[in-house]
Amino acid sequence: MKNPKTSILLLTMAAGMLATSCDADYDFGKADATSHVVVNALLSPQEDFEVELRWSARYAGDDTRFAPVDEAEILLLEEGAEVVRCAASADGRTVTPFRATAGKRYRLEVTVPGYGTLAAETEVPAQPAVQMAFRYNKNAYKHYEIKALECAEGTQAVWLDAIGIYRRPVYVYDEFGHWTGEIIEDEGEESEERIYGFYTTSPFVDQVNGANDAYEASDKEATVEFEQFLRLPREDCAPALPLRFSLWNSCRRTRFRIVAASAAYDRYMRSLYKQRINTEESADKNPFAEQVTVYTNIGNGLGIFAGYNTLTLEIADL
Amino acid sequence: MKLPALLLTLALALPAHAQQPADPVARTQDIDSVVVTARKPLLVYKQTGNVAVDVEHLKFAPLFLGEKDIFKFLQLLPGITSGKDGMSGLVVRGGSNDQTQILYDDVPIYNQTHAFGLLSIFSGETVQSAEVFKGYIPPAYGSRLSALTQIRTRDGDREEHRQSLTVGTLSLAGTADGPLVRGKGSYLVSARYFFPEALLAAIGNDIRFGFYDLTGKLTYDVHRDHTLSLGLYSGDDHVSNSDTDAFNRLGYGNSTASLRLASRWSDRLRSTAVVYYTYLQNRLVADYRDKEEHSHGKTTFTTHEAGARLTFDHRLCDGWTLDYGANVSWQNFLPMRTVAKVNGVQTRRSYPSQELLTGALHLNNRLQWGAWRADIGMRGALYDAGGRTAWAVEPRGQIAYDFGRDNSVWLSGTMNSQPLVQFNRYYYSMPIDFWTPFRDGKLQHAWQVSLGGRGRIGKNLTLSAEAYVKRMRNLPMIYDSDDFLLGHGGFVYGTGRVAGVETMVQWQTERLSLTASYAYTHSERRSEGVSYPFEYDIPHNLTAFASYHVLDRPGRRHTLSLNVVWHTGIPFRLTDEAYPDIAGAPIAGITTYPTMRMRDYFRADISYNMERRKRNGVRNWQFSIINTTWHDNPVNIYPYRGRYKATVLVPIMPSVSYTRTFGK
Repeated sequence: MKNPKTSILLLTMAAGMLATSCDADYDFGKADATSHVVVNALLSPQEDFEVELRWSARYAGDDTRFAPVDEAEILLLEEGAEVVRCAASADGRTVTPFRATAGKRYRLEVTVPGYGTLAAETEVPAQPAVQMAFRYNKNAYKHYEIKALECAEGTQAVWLDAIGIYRRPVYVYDEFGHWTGEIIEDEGEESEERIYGFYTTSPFVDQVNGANDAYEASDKEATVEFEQFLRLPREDCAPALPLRFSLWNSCRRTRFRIVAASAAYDRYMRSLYKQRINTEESADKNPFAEQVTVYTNIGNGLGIFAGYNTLTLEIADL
Repeated sequence: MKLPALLLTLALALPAHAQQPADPVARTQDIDSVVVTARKPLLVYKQTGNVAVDVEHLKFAPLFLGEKDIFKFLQLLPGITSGKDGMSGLVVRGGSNDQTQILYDDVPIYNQTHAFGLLSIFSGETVQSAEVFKGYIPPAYGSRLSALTQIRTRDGDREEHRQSLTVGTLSLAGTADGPLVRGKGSYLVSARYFFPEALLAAIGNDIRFGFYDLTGKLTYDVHRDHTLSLGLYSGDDHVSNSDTDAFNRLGYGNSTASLRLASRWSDRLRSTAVVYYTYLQNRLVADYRDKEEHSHGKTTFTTHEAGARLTFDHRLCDGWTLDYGANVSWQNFLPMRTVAKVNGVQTRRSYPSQELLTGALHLNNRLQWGAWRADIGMRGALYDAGGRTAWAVEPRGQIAYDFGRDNSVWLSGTMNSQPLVQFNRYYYSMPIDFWTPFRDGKLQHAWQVSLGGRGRIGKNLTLSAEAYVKRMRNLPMIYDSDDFLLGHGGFVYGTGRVAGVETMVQWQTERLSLTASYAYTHSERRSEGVSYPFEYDIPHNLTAFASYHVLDRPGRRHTLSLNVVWHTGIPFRLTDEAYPDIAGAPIAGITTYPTMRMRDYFRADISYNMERRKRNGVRNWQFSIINTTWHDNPVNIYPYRGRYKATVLVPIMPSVSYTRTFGK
């Protein structure tokens, strides 16, 4: 470049563009966090009722462990009537044979000696009604359509996630244990893999987990990726139909889990996801990262007590 | 897409309304001239808590991302901060950003930012003046609790045509102004474009970001005593991502229009009438189209306001002037409108729109007797939000005593109300602003009392200081923006208490301008029985800015300027406590209320400006480095693999700008 001013201009421009946000270690300098009892208990008609009781701990350090609450009493009330009363397991995880009933309201009380009583309430929504179909494969992407979706009273939102089910291939060996070179597809042990991305142009899907992703957009038929799940607020379930979306997997069958979420379940899962995408690696160099407090409905403690109801659909690739 | 909006705003811009003490027809200031006969002070503490910035100094202030940004300059004033480092908020005396009313040529602005908050929309090419009212706010204005910021566009030159072109580090700007009819009217047109977008497009990049803004102003003397001005602004920020058959876009933008008639009816009576329209839109669009399939989704979030203001400035006798007038406005907030189209079948859903009607009357007595000056006034406002009506009576007054040569003491009291609140939601990790009117019939209220003074020592030194106390109530503390948006709660009401002292020292000579200020602030909020620091509470804030004409001779001037800021770290919602989620993974202890403070903030910016008169105009080179010492000032602290990391938005930022002006 002959003109030195032009050189200065271009060099400074380049430097200015490079000087974007960066990250640095930060000394927190505050180590006197108080421990709280954490209650984690989800309630649904499809699962046995479990309560996990732990103590909170310091985050900073090489190995964050949450000690179990080794002595506590658990009381579960259904519409005010006692349905479960038991001592908590010393390892922190207490499993009961109780299963919730849709449409009922529940109250959980956990009494920890020397700490006090923790309490929370929730309701269990009715199971969602869904009509869903496979549409076609487009290269590695499978396309689906939800034609009907009904969510009952008490449902705050519907969450959809999926697992791909496949059978491992069978490698054929001869009598001496040498591989014959033959592979029999879809005959081996059944295995599952979580689906991590959903693609749709629908504006009714909650954008909380939406991200730009134009890679192979013509196959996905969208440039927005929804990480891990699709969430539809209750009021958007009807206008969202027909809801078309695609996902990537190499399986012949896909198991969809459609969850009718109570208000507590929805707030907890949504805030938990939002905190995940705003902390750890996800917050790296993001000046717009949000500070997200994870929702808790446990009085006098932390954690969640929340009802949900799941419909599972298995759809084969035609 | 912006042109129809612009035409619409023009069509809606009806005549009539005024503002403040009728600003007598402003004439062009020769901001590009290098000939400075007497140096004016950088800032003037005009009255209580009212600071006017001499925009001429803006051209020496360090560039931020290559831009001359008036907001970055205002954030250096005592009692004002940006909130997060590098952002374009105006957090005044412990009030949140939405408690500062921003008027751009009398038009309210609902999102003052470009680049998702990094820059303000006010281009250094067009701004004529900036004034911040931090305490006493004239009764002609209201609807915000903490402050009023008036940004005014300059008029075009009435005698000569001029053009200027600015090449910044990341943007291109062009401005033209001149006479419409020599001596009777003028035009000003300015455009700015973030040019890396075009570079990304040229190399075929799928992801693009850009912004632009257009500013226009026509001024014409329709009569010897009546001057009509038409102001237009349109700006837009957008991010897009595309592939062969698919794309998505998100963006936001403001469009405004105003028509202003400044009149002089007699030597004693003047008036100003303004009608305006302002529009803020946020949008998300996703689209897929091939030979057989077409799916499309669009979500928009809009805010409209149309209003009018009429003000009279009536001198009844020597020493007594009445300011009186009225203003009305209509605001419409459409929080979310979603439209989906799948192969021609369209579905749509809208959250209920919310309307706010405001009517206000004001009366102010400006009195002067001897060395005493006083303003005693009242503003009465009536607000209607969806059938819920609330009213506010806001007495405002100030009294000042001038003595000696440029010495003064003052005392003021002001009451303000606010009928709306701003909150953010995030889409694709980008914040989107929402505004909504008051709920439950509860307006936000504040009162503030301040006591201050200014003294000149010798020829060059000026000292000023002001102490204040402010109380706020009915502040909506939003903890769940989704619920709040849907009208399902998601907030609690709280109160705010602020007390502070601001001091400023100015040293002014022909070559050196030095301003240093210190502000002490104690700002806290209280809700649900808990008191906690305001999220941008900064107890100690020290700033200094200096500019020195290294070379000052006819036709050439080199100016070195330096900004230094140190302040206490802002509060942050984080503890070292973690607890397990339902899968056993740790949840970080991000709390509802602040529990810690970030480390102290420090930033030193330097700039060198070289101005030279050419045969047919002026050329100006400016080189700047923001955060010269590369101090790590976090905007966020987050847990990371068993330790904590901080995100630094402005590590060190060199930039350059070249401006060439043609014309006298």
